[in-house]
Amino acid sequence: MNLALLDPFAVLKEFPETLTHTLNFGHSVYIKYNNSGDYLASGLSSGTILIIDNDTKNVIRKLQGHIRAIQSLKWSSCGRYLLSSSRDWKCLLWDLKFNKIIKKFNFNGPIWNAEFSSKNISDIVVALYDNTPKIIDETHGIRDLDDDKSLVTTFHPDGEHIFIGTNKGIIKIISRETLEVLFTQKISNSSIKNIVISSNGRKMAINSSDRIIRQITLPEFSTDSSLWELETDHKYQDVVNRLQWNSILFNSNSEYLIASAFGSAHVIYMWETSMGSLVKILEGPKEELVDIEWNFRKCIIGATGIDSGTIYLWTLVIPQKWSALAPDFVEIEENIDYEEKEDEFDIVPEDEINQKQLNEEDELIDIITKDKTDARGYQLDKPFVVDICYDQIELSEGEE
Amino acid sequence: MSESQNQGELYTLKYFTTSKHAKETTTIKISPNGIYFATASSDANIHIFDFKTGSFIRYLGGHSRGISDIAWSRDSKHIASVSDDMSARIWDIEYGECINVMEGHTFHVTCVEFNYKGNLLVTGSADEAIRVWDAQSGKCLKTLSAHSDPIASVDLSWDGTIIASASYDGLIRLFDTESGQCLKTLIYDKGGSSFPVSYVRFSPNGNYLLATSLDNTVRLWDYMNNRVVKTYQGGSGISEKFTCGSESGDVNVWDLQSKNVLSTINVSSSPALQIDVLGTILIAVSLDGTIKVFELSDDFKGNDSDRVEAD
Repeated sequence: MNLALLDPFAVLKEFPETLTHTLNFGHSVYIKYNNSGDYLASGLSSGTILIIDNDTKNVIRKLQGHIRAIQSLKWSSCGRYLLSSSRDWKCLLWDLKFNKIIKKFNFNGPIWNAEFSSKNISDIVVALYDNTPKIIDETHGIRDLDDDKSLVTTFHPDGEHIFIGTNKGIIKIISRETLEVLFTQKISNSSIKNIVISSNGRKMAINSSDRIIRQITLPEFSTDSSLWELETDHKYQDVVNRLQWNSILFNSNSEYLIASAFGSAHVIYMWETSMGSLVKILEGPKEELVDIEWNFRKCIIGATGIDSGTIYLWTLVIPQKWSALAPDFVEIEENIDYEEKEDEFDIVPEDEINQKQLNEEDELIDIITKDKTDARGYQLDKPFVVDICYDQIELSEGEE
Repeated sequence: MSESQNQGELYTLKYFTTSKHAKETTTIKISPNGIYFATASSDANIHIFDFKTGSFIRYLGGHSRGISDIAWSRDSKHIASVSDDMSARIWDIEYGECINVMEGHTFHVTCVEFNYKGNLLVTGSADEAIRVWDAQSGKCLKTLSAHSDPIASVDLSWDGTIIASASYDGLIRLFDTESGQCLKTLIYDKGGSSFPVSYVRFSPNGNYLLATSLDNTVRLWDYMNNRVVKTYQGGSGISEKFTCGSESGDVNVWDLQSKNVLSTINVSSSPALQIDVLGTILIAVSLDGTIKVFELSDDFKGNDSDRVEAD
């Protein structure tokens, strides 16, 4: 609600530019904001998961269940459930309402990533190290999703299609319902490290170990799958240093793509996706950035540092509007010649003015109906709230 | 609704009790789950009661001076209190213990409010500043130099992003919770002078502000457009410190749209200090310690939303 009262030009900026916060709560390796942008889940190298409150930038929950570094985290769209996977060969589903593990899956090897569908948290896909990808659901338990080894699996936002990226550079699209491979295409000659699909489901970006990010427009799924084709719209690469990309991400309307790079770059690159041009380099810390995350609602970009495990946050800095400090202050672009109004200094009895004003107050006022969207166009609703433990949480050494 | 309707049908007294505080009761608040209500007093204690029966459960002691205001957490298990001893405290209801003391204000703390997530606590003080605290760690996150006179009341919009404050300097200010910046200043200064503002509340949808000032008037502000959309008068002398009662010991119920006084509920012969409403149940406390619980009639249930139940 505050956005409507702030400077509209500042509020409608599409990305943050200033590094404002560094959070040191243990050695963070993976970060993820929930949908409402209120909470940041931080997976540590120790296997602990911390829930960090975005308002206070403080830890409000500590989830202990893994004993090796966290590989991936995924929030349910309601914000109550969290799926975590770790190098300890386990995948856990947490319920933040009761602060407990409600499902636990053991695999016979380390996990690359695990994810549930946005439609149903019981539908889980898992990519395993040196093994075939798996799908887990309530009726069938754990099943093989494909015969080839994969490095990444992900759900399309529609929840009906599963994307797999293999170590041979092949992309497969699988139907969630029949588990039939609908489509296969070789995209690159090296392994596929990440697949990100924009939230509207139209664009996909693929990070491959040949050091190129490929941006692809997805076909219309309602058409015959034999007609589908993945055509690369843009290729993003560092032509000078030929750096590997660590992590890639779209913004909410997929107009921008960001990526963190291997080695000495210490920055986040941002491209504009329609023309494919580099628009921004977010500078800041003095270390390599690994995982990156974008909080759309609050307009925050976060990244984890490889050496310290610090979480860095870039936010929007909105200048104070001086006209807010008094009701008769107005900010103007240039001087205005003031013209006195005809009745400006007329003397009217005060009672008369008051009565007139009281009589004019006859409009119908609605104090109940809430606005549906905020100034940035996101849905305004009351999301799931993680209860605060007012007795302080004990943080172990290194997490403070 | 016509004014001729029998007022007896608008509310029924459920029960009444007397506060057991050694000094005057300053505030009364119903817990969000409807199980308890709590009173605070100048005798530096908080009393917890069973809301259904009105029986006393326990007291919370620890402040060294009088308590001005309290707020329930969303889980109904904790209470925040602010006192003239310049501190704010968070209490565990079940164990009756103080679990956090927040110090930083440099003069009497007058008002307190949680945001809906329960992670932030906002306090206003006679030191003219508002402080935003991390409710879990007790750390002060922000100090807003807000007014030029004591702050009488603070409130948060339903989504927690705006803090509204009312002060004796006659201003109502809106602040951005996240950045601490002033977003808006409202003043009603017809005739060149403004009256101290004693209480401020956001409307349920957060688009309007209800404010009472010491000229016996309650105003509904459309703060986006800097204007008063409704003026409620006819309350017989709104008490100086607490707007939610009047000096004649009555609670007034206005019709939001027509601005008519629908009902006057008598609490006591001494000034009514504070009321709280949960659903259709209204609780009020007066200066002499009388606590009364009223069940509002179906007319209020029907379109509860159309009425202002303050003062």
